[in-house]
Parts: sequence; structure tokens; C-alpha cells
Amino acid sequence: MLCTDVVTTQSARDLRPETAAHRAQIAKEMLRHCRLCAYDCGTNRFLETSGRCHAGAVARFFCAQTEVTDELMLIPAFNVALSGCDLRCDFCITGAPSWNASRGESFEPPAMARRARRALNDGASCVMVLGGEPTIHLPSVLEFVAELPATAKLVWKTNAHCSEAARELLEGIFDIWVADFKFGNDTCAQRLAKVKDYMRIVRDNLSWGFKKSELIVRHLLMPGHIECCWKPVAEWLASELPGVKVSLRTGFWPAWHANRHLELQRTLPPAQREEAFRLAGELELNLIP
Amino acid sequence: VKARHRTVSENEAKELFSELLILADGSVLVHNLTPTFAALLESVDLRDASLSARVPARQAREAGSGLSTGRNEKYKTAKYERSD
Repeated sequence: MLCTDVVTTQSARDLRPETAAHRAQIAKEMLRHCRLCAYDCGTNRFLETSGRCHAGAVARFFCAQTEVTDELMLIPAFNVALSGCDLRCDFCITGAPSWNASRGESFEPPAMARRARRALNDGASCVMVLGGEPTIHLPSVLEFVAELPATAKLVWKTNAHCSEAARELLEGIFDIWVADFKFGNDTCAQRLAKVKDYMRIVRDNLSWGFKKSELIVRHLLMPGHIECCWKPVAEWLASELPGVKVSLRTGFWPAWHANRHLELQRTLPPAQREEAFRLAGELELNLIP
Repeated sequence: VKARHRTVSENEAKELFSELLILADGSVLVHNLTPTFAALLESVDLRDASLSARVPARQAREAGSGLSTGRNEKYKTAKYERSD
């Protein structure tokens, strides 16, 4: 166990900045033999960028602004998007900065925390940390949290491909996890995102998140992937995470390298959208807008 | 279409951006929708309920009433989605 200081009670929440600061030091040390994501590559990120994420030790960000695109219960949200990701989804809507951790501007936790506080004062309901994939920049994220008020509502937007070590460091830090469940089988995951053993890893992390935090599971409907991806995802959620909030995203557009895959060279056909919602209704999923 | 608009706050210039994909059938997909851009889109009357729920003034009203207008099958001219 890396952390025993689980932040679950109100008093523990008051200590969140201190807890985050402490864990940031642990996370920074982990960069010498990185195992923040499930690839567990062991790269020394102070010296090289040869891991799957190609990230060094310094985080960068490519977007920080208040947005109203996310789930209604979260908006307006001050979104901080960090460059770099451990997955390689060909259809990524932010492909360029997500596949290249050196894109964007230097992420300075105190300066970004000032911007976040201003956004909260201006009416943002929460601060959402996303990417790319923020897990790969956990030390900087925790430093950022350490600079935020303990009362701020914090949202962790993740691909759910983190390691057990990373999630231990995250436990109790974020109020809400918004986690993607992108693929319904390992074949599609390998073909579209070049990731192995996807189902086991993501299911394990979602089960953990369901127990440890408020969880919203997102699924982006991909054209031609209702039967192979959405259906198994929906059935598993209904069976294993009953009542979990599910955000079904219908706005797929053929971004980045989507044109490498014939079925992804278009937006979602209306008939597939209707079929996806019909299935969700049949399984009585707790869909949220 | 990538729409950029600049704001200046506390001597700090920040560039905000939203991205639009306008389809031939009139559907509009949006990524990184800012409150300002949501208000702008609503002002051109796209009649989309999922957008209306995201415009700040409406949000405040609906928070008070407990209403959610996230889905309205009557008006499907536009779909506002984050595609990640």
C-alpha cells in the first residue's frame, strides 16, 4: 500500500490539500520507474520519454477554460486538459495534443490553481482535470489539487486505464470520476487504440471507482460498434455496476486518424443512435444527460 | 470550424476555443463548448434543447425548477456533444 490516508470524511476532506501535496511527492518519485498507467513500462521519465505515453517528467496542458459541454450535473466546468495519453485511439477528438505530450504550454500548478479559483468565483461548478489522460501526469495534478480550496468540487476525467498504484494515490482526492468505457471487447480496443487487455483493466478500475467515488461512466457511440462495443459495455454495467450513472455520447465525428477505419469515416447514423438508446432502456441503465 | 475568441482577465490574455462540425443535414456537433459560444449558438435559434440546457442563464433557471431539457426528440436539428 502506498497510501493509508484515505480521504473520505469531512475532516479528511479539509485535509485534502495537504494529502494531495504529500502524495504528489510519492507520485513524483514514481516517475523514476513509471507505473502510473496499466502499461507498467518502468520508464525513468526524468531521463527519457520512451514510454507508451512519450511523456517526460514535466506536464503540459493544451486547454484550460470553462465549458458547458459535459454532463449537465457538472457544467459549467473549468476544464484543464493535459497533453499526452497512454492510449492511441485513432478517433481521438484531441489527437494532436493527446498523442504528443510535448504539445501545449507548461503546466504550472500554482498558476493554474489561480485560474481555477477565478473560474469557480465566476460561477464554474467544478474543476475537471482531463487530457489526453491526466493519470500520466499525476504528480503535477496532485500539486495542482494541493493549491485548490478543500471545498472545491473536483472531477477526474479518465480513460480508466490507470494502474493500481495510481488509483491508490487518487483515492479520496476527486469528488467525481468520469471514466470512459470505450470498447466492449479486446479486439476493437487493440485495433482502434492499440491497447491490450483493455477489458480486464478497465472493468477492474470501474469496479473500484464505483466503490470508492461517485462515478459517471461515459461511452462514446462509434458508428458500426453498437453490437460489438456498446452492447457488451451496457450489459456489463447493468449487471456489475447497477444504478451507476451512464453518459451515452452520440456526437462522434471522424477526427484525427479515424479515416484509417472504414466504419469510422462518418458520424453516428440515426438508426444506430436509436438502437443504442433502445438497448439502454431495455437494460434500465441510469442514463444522465 | 474552429472558433476562437479572446478574453482578458486580470491582465492575462487567454485564448478560448470551441470546435464545430456542421453536417449536410443541418446537424451541428460541438466540442469544447464555452458558455459564450453556447449563447451565441442559441442566439441563431438552432432550436436544440440539449443546447438550451447549457446556456448559463437557462441553467440557472432550470436548476431552480429541477427541469432537465437534455433530450427533446421534437427538435433534433443539432446535437451538442463532446466527442472524447
